[in-house]
Amino acid sequence: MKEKKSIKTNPEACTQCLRCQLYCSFHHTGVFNPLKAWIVIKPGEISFTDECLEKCTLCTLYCVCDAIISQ
Amino acid sequence: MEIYGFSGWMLYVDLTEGKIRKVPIDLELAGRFIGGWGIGCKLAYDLIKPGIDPLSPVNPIIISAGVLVGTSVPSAARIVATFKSPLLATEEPRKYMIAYGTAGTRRFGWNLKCAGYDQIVITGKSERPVYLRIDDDEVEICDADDLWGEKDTYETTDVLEDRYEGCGVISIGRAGENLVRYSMALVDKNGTFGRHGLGAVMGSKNLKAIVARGTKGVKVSDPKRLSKVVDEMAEKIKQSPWLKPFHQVGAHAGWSAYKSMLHMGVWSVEEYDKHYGIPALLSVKRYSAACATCILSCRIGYRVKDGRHAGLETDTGHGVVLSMIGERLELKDIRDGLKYLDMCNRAGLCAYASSGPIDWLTRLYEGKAITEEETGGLALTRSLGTYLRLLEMIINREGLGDTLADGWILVSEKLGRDARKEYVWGSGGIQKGVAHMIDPRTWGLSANTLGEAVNPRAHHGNMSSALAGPPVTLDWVKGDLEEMAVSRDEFLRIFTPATYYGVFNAARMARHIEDRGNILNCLGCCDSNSIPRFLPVPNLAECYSAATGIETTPEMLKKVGERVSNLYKIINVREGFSREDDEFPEAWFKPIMTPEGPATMKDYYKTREIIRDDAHQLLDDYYDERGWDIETGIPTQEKLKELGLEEYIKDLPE
Repeated sequence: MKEKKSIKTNPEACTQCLRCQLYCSFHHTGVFNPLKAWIVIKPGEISFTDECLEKCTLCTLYCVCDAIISQ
Repeated sequence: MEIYGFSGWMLYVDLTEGKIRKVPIDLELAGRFIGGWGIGCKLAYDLIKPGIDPLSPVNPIIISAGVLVGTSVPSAARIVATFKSPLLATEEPRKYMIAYGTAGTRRFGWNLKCAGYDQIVITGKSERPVYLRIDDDEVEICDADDLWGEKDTYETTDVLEDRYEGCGVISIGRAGENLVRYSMALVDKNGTFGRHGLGAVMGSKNLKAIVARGTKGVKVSDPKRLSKVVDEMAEKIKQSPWLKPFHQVGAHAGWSAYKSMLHMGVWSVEEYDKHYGIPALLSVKRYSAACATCILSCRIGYRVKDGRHAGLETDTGHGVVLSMIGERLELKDIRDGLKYLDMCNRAGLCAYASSGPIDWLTRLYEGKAITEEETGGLALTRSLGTYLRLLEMIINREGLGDTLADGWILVSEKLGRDARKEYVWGSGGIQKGVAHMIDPRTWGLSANTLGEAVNPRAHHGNMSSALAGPPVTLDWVKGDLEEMAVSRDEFLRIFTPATYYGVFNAARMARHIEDRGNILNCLGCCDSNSIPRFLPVPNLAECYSAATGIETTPEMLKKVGERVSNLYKIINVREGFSREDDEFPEAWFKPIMTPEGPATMKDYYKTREIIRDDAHQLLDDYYDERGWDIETGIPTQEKLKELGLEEYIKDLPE
């Protein structure tokens, strides 16, 4: 897991709808596969895997509650 | 052959033999039944033989993942469990219904699809407590001795989530283990298969939990096409004035209307609002929770921050359910309501269903209509202490609890009383063994509430439409029906004023709402999202076509909805159900005495009283709109032929 400077996280606002995981995984694997997403969502916790590209903020486009915001 | 949208496999689990079988999904069935619960109904017809004992090993549990579950379609997170319900529906003759429960899921649904399975069929009975582990290609029946009788629903979920990181979990609690007939299974803590006793059916199989974890993913046929329609749907939801209120308070966003429409008359609306309104709910809110893919987010988790029961945390139950229980049991402190709810959640017990008999008996005791001799020596004074004691007894099937655990009809028989006649306040009306949640005397006899009476399984959720939210204009209702792919003739019939109802025909409308509800069950989309009209059938047809590659028009989807409605009806006709079981509950014809005055059953716009003759005519209209026999309420041969269901004609009574 790693810090990601390009995305500000607000885990308290996250509803865990997992749209970010669905779109992230689709983008880099071609199928919907939340367990292969490079953003990891748990109650009260948002983190990014080591594979996650620092400059990519795709997931923030799909968040509807400002839990992840592109910086 | 590549499969899109669907995962491609059905899992058959025989708990008696300890055997697991994987069968490829027959996509021919998709043409007839779309998928998800549509195929689940077909399996239910094939596997649930008429007259079986619901708690016997032969009662299957069929879990159907919506076709669109695992994709990005907003609200596509629902799975449906179909099984014979252990709750006695009628006493003479004794009939049990084939029920279903739907659950929005946070992790289970997409995990199951990503593991490769669209359907799970569980039969038999394990000798020892077990849980089922579905982990991509590995499917195993695992020992659950450390969970059964030891861990409640939340603890079980925590243990299994720890063991299998990223998984989804269906779990029962002590109520299911002890075969309480209205016990539930919880899904990922927040979701429930409510009210009809799936918990007991799992318990009867010694099945404590089901775990699903999948890493293969869900493929779609035309990602760009899917993306276009999903973006359009998402944009509409994001622009909705409902979004922010839902993110703040979940389903309580409708409270300004619900406080009157879901009001049981125990308190004034003002007092109800004070104890269970938005400020009270916010005082105990811990988090907002959405099912996977859902932008709206209708759930919240709770924590008692201070005062009575400080520190209590619970994760299940919409605010409106908490409020209804609180009012009926006169729990003025919302924290007491949460204490009650939490005990039910952890035991896997339907809190709404349990609160009915408890309310009834404690009122009888208060009115000196029953004695301590009849209650087994218990003083049933109305207080949280009594309610929790009774809950404990129900969950453990001790003494009076053993009686209460069996549902309305058996409780009535054992006590020598008739709850359907006596318990008329705040019950929603008792019909087919369950009490309705939405009472037309306060809500109005909308197509939704009427639909609860005629649906084989009284399902407040599945009958969802714009009428299931705060009151809307006739134009808005018309727009909603237009989005359900009704034909021009159907539209005209629905919106021709009826002298025995009002400006539209609620009975004719109910049939189409039911068909659309079944489309949602097949696709896995959520009825809550249909209330603000986020799920027009044309959009759903486009989603299905793009996801699966099976080109489907809105009219075709509507037809499948109708086909599934008919098949589900046939399954229950086989069990002996007919029009007499759809007749409105007696309670609906008596007023509820509220502090604001008597509340009686009126049409949706509250312009006139609905009396018995009106009800009779409305039922006639419902069956007519369905193309069923009006006298018996049963599909006709002609209708089954029209729908390509000829093989089920043999199940029609002679």
